[in-house]
Amino acid sequence: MTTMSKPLADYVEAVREWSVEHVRPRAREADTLHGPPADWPQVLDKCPVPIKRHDRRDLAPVPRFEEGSWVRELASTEAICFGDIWVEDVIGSGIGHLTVQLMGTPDQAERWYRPIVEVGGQAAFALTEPHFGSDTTMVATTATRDGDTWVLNGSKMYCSMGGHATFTVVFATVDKSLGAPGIAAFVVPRGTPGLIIAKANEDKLGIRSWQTCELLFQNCAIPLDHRLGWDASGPVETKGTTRTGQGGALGALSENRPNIAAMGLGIASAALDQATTILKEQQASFSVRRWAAITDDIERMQAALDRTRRVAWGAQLMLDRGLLNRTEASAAKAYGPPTFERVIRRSMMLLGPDGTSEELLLEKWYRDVKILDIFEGSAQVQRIVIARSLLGPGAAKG
Amino acid sequence: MTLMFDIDRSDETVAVTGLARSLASDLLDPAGRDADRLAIIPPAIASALFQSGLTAPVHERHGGGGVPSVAAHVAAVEALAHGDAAITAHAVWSGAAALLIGHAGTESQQARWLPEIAGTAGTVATALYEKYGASPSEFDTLVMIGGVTGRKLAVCGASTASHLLVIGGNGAAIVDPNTEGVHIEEPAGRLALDAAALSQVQFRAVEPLDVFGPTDGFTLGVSHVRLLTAALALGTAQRSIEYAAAYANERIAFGKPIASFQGVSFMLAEAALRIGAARLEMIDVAWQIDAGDSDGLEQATTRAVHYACGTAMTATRDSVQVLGGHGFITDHPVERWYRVAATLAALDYDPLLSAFEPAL
Repeated sequence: MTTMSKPLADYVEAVREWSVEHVRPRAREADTLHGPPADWPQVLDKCPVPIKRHDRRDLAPVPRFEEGSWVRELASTEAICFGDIWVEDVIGSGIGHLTVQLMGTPDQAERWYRPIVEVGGQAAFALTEPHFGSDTTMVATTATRDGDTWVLNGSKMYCSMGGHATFTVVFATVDKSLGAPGIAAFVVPRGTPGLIIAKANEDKLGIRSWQTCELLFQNCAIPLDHRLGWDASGPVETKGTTRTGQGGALGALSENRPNIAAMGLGIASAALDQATTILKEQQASFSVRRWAAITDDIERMQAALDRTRRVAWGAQLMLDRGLLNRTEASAAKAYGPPTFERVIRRSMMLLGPDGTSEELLLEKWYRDVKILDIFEGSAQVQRIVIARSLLGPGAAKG
Repeated sequence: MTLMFDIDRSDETVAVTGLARSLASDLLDPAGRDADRLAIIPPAIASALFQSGLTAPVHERHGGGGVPSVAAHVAAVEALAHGDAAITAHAVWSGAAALLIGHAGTESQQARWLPEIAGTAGTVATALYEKYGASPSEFDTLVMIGGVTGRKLAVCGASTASHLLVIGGNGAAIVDPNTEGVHIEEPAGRLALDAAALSQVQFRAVEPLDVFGPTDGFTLGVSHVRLLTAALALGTAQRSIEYAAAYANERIAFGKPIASFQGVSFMLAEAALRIGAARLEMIDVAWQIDAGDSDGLEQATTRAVHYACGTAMTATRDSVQVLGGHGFITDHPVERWYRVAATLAALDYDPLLSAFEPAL
């Protein structure tokens, strides 16, 4: 299932080699800087094949492959993160545009979805607030109609690329008494007055170079047609249904979930690869019994990673074939990350005290990997989705 | 703090753990964050720990404050680590020579070294760990005629000690760090525990100043020192789940505290179960050392440390998970405990005792 066509395999191999040669050597620096290296565009320029880039509109587009774009995305994301995960934050487009596609009018999709996909740019996503994460009905940021504008007030945290994205999709309630149906999504372009970067980056366990912003909205006014599903005169019926902000948010998160698994596959494979290389160099110093145990462990880890890859690919093959994959996308997100943690941890343990040294990247990857089971829907939230598909809507939430 | 299976209520254990708990909450806990960030321990805290007699216990006849039972000692170290594991690790590893010489030294060897150890913290650094979770009987480092040769990892305070106690596969030796053949690297940054100043030391045919043979006392002493890592890991794990439990009672989602969801509470309950079982295993090994029984002790120690460290890695990981995004930022200490547990585990985690298992 995860066997690639020759063109995709060649493409992925080129990306992977580039990432090991040019991205990985900058990983420690990105971690220490809490930001990407200043010359990150030049690092990207060295990639011999086109990759998704939001910063260059003059380059060839990412090629098309018979596998379909969602599967291609998985394969290239894994290859990119095999070097290191820092680069994902500077090349990624975010997920705000996916919300636009899901909830927007055709005009809005033309304005905010297509350009991101076809020419570049970053679309941030602002849902989480300090007092909630998983329970998205608790949105407290308000959107109040004032003549021809919506006025946003509130605060958002854990917004990836929120500080420098082309625009941010912000979830706010238009009427708290409505609960979830009152939550709508708004496009706030970079530089809109009242959009304040309260904190440019959190001080984090891992993915320290990723810009994780806290945003403040203080009487931030945007035109009426910046509410998804609306035009300047009011709501527009889209595809027969008007989706709620909550539904759109969860939809955008769902499509991206297998990509999170692909990121983890990249760094967990890298950790296993590094540990294996070091252990093989030291093979002579192990007893036969110890070496047999190590070899067995490496095989078990490889097989476990292969299983996670199958699950992620299975989910996106469905999307590429036009099938609904909400449950399978959750499965990919739930299945991979805790095993990636274990692979990296075990790789460190096999190396002994040297395994946690900053002279290797395993300790960084062990810090980076933890977020994958938390953000964009925690392990617990994925289980709710999967349990409901199995047991029906009555399945317990926690 | 209520510990599961807090079964050792001897006067001695109650007294030393009581002292350890107050040091942990008054001194170590408030200093933990900065110790981690700055990789230094305030001298006043290091001094208070040393003066407590818990970290480098030496018998009264050699100028110390007395030696508690091993069971009482590991309980105290667990209680200190509940405050902060890195500061505790630095203190107890700096004092490890007192334990080994106390168990393995002849009366004259004790009289030679212990008064100095009782008088000044960190005067004799202990070089114990080697690569890949190997047990002491498999150590490459050997104490031979013609000198001590080997490579030791994660040696605490090597660059500031006046002597090094090297633990080999066939006994231990004390060497002068300024002798030819000793190469001490600068402490390297790692995932956590930078405050413990861990560095790598190479020994090439180094002439020893004193030698401790592979006696029963040596076996008991080495196990005692290794067991401290289990205590550090369990103190960290216990603290971590207590923090996550308190958070789970306050954080509201879906209209209720998240503690009311079994997906959250069962995860912490399972962590508590494992910590309880690991604590009993640690106490059992401590009692075996206290009984002077070296039979099968090395393997029992390896198992106890392995299980305690594995438990701590899972418990701290699950604690981060309970806090979610808040667990991933340094505003909360659970991310530090996640790093500490894995760093401790990598010191002495024998892969032969468990095979890799995927999460699902």
